[in-house]
Amino acid sequence: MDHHLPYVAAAIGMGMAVIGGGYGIGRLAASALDGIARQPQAAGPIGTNMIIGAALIEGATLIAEILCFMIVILR
Amino acid sequence: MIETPGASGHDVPQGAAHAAAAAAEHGAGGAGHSDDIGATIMHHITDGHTLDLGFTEVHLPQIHLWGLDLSITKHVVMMWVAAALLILLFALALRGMRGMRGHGKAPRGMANLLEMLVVFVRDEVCLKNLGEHHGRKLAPYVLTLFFFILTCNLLGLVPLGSTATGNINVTAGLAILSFLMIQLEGIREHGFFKHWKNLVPHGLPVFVLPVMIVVEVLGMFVKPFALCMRLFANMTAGHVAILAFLGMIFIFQSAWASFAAVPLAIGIMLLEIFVAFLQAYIFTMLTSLFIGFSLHPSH
Repeated sequence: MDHHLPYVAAAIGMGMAVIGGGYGIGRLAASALDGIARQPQAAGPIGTNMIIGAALIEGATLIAEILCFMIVILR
Repeated sequence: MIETPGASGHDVPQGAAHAAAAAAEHGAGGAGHSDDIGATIMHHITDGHTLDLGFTEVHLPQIHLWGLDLSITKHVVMMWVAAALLILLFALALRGMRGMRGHGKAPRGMANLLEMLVVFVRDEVCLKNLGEHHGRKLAPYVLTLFFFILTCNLLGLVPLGSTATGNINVTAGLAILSFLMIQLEGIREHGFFKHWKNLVPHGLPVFVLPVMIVVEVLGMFVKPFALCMRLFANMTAGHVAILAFLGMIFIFQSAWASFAAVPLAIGIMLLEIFVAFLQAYIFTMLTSLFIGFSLHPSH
């Protein structure tokens, strides 16, 4: 078990990172869709800002995933 | 190293056209080199001293000067290719602008295509964040940053190419450059001491000041660090996902797995094209946003 603990840790870490990122981006997309539903003519700026927010959240998620990947690589 | 169960001691069966095309397309022949899929993935992601052209391997010169490793590596060559490509594209664009001087005619040819991107980055990113005067002054830097990052990102998706921005040293260099631009533009605008005073918002109660100083100084370093890590992580994660899906073919040791693996890999590659554009835009936009903050501290 001790030999495989790093792999377990990395796998659980990556899964949790995706949970957080997915939830955050899901809420972001929901708000953006609400905004577009209220004001269809603002769809352009709302969409652009949504993409920017999604990229920033995704940045944090992927940083966590890369660091989990490091656990396996630096074995 | 990552060991895959059952991968040792088998011969890779002669694959369907799918698997062979996919493997060749990714410049791999990787399973031909080793049965260790983990090592193959690492070989593709990381920098190396050989340029893998599919049928040959070009060994690049290793140069050690003054205790520094200044070798020409795969990613260095890719950055040179990106630079040469950009010079070529914009030289062609210049030709398309030839009949244009103030006549109000539309640009032709390559200029027409590049004008979309250039005007978008200049207007939405550069001028909006930096204002008219500084925007025009810094537009060459911002545009160069955007197109260089975009080209490096996209070069990783073509056969024989490799993502230079998937190397943390490259993105760290770009982030250090952004950090220097942020500080130097602020110092040039406000003078040396006033620039550091502008870090902290004005009009705060005195007891909050120590905390704000620590927070702002940390923020000054964290922001370029996040730029570096964001670009690096996005590029590397995408490529690891593509290689992992294609590696399923070799893990399952079956050519039939390619019917699932190759469409998945193609899907992720399409996503990677989008991510390449998006990450170039995000890096450029955040850099110009931070330069704008240091030029116009409107706290």
